[in-house]
Amino acid sequence: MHDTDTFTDSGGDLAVDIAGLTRVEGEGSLRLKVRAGVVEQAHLEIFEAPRYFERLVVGRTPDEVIDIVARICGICPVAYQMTAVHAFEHGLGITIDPAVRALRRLLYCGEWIESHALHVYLLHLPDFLGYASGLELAHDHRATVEAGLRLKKAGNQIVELIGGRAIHPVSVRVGGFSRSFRRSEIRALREPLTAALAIALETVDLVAGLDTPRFDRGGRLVALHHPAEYPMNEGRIVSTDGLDLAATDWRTEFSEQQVGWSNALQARDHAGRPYLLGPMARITLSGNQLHPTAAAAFAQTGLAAEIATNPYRSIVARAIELVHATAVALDIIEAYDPPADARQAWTPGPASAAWATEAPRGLIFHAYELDEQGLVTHAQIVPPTSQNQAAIEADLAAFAPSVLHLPRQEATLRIEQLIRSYDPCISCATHFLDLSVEHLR
Amino acid sequence: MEPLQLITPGRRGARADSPNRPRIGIVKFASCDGCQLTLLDLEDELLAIADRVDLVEFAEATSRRSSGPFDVLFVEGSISTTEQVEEIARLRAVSHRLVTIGACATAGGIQAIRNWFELAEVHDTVYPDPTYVESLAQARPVSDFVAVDAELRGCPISPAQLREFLVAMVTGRRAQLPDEAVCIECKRRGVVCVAVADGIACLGPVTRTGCGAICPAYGRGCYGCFGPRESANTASLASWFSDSRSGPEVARLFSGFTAWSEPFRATVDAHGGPPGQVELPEESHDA
Amino acid sequence: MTRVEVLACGAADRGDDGAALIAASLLIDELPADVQLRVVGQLDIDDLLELPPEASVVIVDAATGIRPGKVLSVSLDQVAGDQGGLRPRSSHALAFPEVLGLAGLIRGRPVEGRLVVIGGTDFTLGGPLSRPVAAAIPALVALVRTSVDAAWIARPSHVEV
Repeated sequence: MHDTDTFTDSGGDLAVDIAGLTRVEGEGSLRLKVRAGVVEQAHLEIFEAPRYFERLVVGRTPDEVIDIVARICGICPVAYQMTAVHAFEHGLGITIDPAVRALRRLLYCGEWIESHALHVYLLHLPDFLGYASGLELAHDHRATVEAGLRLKKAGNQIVELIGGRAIHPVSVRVGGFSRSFRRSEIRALREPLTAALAIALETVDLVAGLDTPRFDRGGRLVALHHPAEYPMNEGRIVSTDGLDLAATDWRTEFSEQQVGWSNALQARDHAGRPYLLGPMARITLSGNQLHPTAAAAFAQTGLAAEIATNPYRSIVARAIELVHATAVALDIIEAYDPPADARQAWTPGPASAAWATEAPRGLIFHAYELDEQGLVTHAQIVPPTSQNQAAIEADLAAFAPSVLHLPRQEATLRIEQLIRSYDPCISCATHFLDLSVEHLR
Repeated sequence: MEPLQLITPGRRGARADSPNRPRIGIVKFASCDGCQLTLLDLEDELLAIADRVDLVEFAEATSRRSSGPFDVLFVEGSISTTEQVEEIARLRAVSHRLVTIGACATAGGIQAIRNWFELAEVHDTVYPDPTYVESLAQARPVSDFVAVDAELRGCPISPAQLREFLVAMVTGRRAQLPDEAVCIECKRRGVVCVAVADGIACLGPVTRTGCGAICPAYGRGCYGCFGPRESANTASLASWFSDSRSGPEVARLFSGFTAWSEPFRATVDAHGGPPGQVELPEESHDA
Repeated sequence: MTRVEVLACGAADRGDDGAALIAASLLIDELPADVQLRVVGQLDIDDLLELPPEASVVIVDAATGIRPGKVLSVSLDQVAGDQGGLRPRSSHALAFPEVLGLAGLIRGRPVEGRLVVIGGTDFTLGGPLSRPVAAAIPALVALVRTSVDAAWIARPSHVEV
């Protein structure tokens, strides 16, 4: 942890250090170097000590990998488990029961609800209203925060039921789930989710009306797209400039590079450009596939154009996705019939496995190689935040000059608020490269 | 007299805090944040807890910062870099009580599996220029470096145990955190023993409960999130596994999120080490 | 409930004698609410008798007898036995060990805590801090902070685990 916040002015060059970004998962710092009003460098530093997940899964079975990769992120473990399990099933040629698919979507809805509610109410909304935390916001607006917590809890209840616990679910297995779920168990979620839907709709109203700074970023947005549904467990990779790619082919368009100031890898497209993932991208690219209830709420805000370009409006995008996820969850619950088998039998064996899903924070990509015994020999895990990092830095470089003239605390807050708008999950963004070992003499 | 221009390291707003509420800090090292998040997941109690204590440092939830002192400091995450060693020592010196939370802080976590691998092997192959990244060779529990006053185990910790701990803390009694095998919890809940009924490998007999026996209730074997219980007889359990499994498969079963804790660690060693060890060519290493 | 009292000793208008006051003013905003700060001129026995019984004290003062600008922190139980080294600026005052010892006798329990001193050299009325003392203010602030922390965490807490 770092204690120093400084604006030091030495002869026309301004160095700004925002040490220890708070209310972002993990730890991070921002270093800007400004010369003559132009930001020459924006370095978002990731201090997370490397945890080597791509190396840790080598030699493990697919089911072990599902357990392990959850621990990349405490807020979005389901995202890692979903991407891994779909990758393995795709690579091994396992087709899952439609009811299992529905349960997985329901589980993912639970995580979207929990993660977005956490971000909106505890991490982001305080910025707009001038509070240091959601807890302090609650001193003056207790009912609002309590409603947000109930919404978050409803998401957790889905994950607890289907996953066994809210953080690091235990039931996701290759081929399905480790246990079956009776209709009555699933139906029991109806009540909290119905209440949650009402809160989600109120959330849209609340955040759409917030006094919001204007900032237009010009960059590329990327997300999954699916012909029949708003993207979550599967889709093709699309972008605002016409990309259309099978998710398994992520590597043909994008790649990762290590940057000098952090342990994390940054992804860029092969032309070296940054790109942005997440709710802004999804709504812009697949807004017409939102659940009708969410689509109506979206239309009512009249903010489609701003959501596409202003990261501060991401809070509205998240609120709309809260409505969407809650409404979809209720639909799945209504239609649920238990699968014939909770889990399909399958045979371990060699495979090349790859997949992408939409985590709350954006597109997440995994690729695995399995050997003859069906054990992992190689893994590539690309979190959304490491993909967003280059775009966040580019945006900060463009944004910073507009606030540096403000009093220090105000400028600092504005910059932090912008960073938080991307919902960066910093503990996700630690990373690894290719495993071939070459000992140089 | 000229006022001196000094930058005071950030302990903003301390005077605003209440003298009657304990100063609580929550910090993390190398971890996924899931254990801190468990506090935010106590949705029904969170605001009441925030009323009773003074959360002066909790970077995941508030912009309020403090570098101490703390009545109670909760620490998540394993210690993996030299800066972290210095930081945990500093934090210990400003904390009346220090409580580790979660498998990373109490046992080193899943990342401690790399303690079995050569550092050079992991590093060179993972980052193209190792000078960019500095690490200790190992991921270690907090108690390897400083005295710890209490611990909450689990991966993640249990919301029920966290709730119990916080209530006990503010009402002035000792928390009830029993050290029983997961088996006791299965019996209590009426969960059919997966080992006996389905022949599933389960670490329940040697693992401390606290999770509520989730995995057996969900049709799989316990994989040891809460770590070994007191006097866990892993040798006996391992030998039972060995009846139908090879050495490496037995090691695999113990190579989980608390593998670095004894006696899990010894069991892993006795059966050939964790999965994923890479055969290195014969050569001499520098340092 | 006060856990720690910081007694900043000195006079702002007497050169290096103001060092403790400056250090205290720089720390005041960050001290926990159960740490009291009091500014006293010359430490005398009544200041110590006013300490709440459960509280410990961090006394901050400039002193001669050590190199100007040097900062050090000693536990008060070491000072009580110390006959040499630290001399107060005024020849009329009791020496620290005597003040501490007497206060402990009168209140019925020893005074617990720490003494943080900075060596001073120039105590001229109306004068500025000497250069070595001015340069050492950050170190003094840091040392007072760690001494307060150490005293604070050693006191009975609002909570036990």
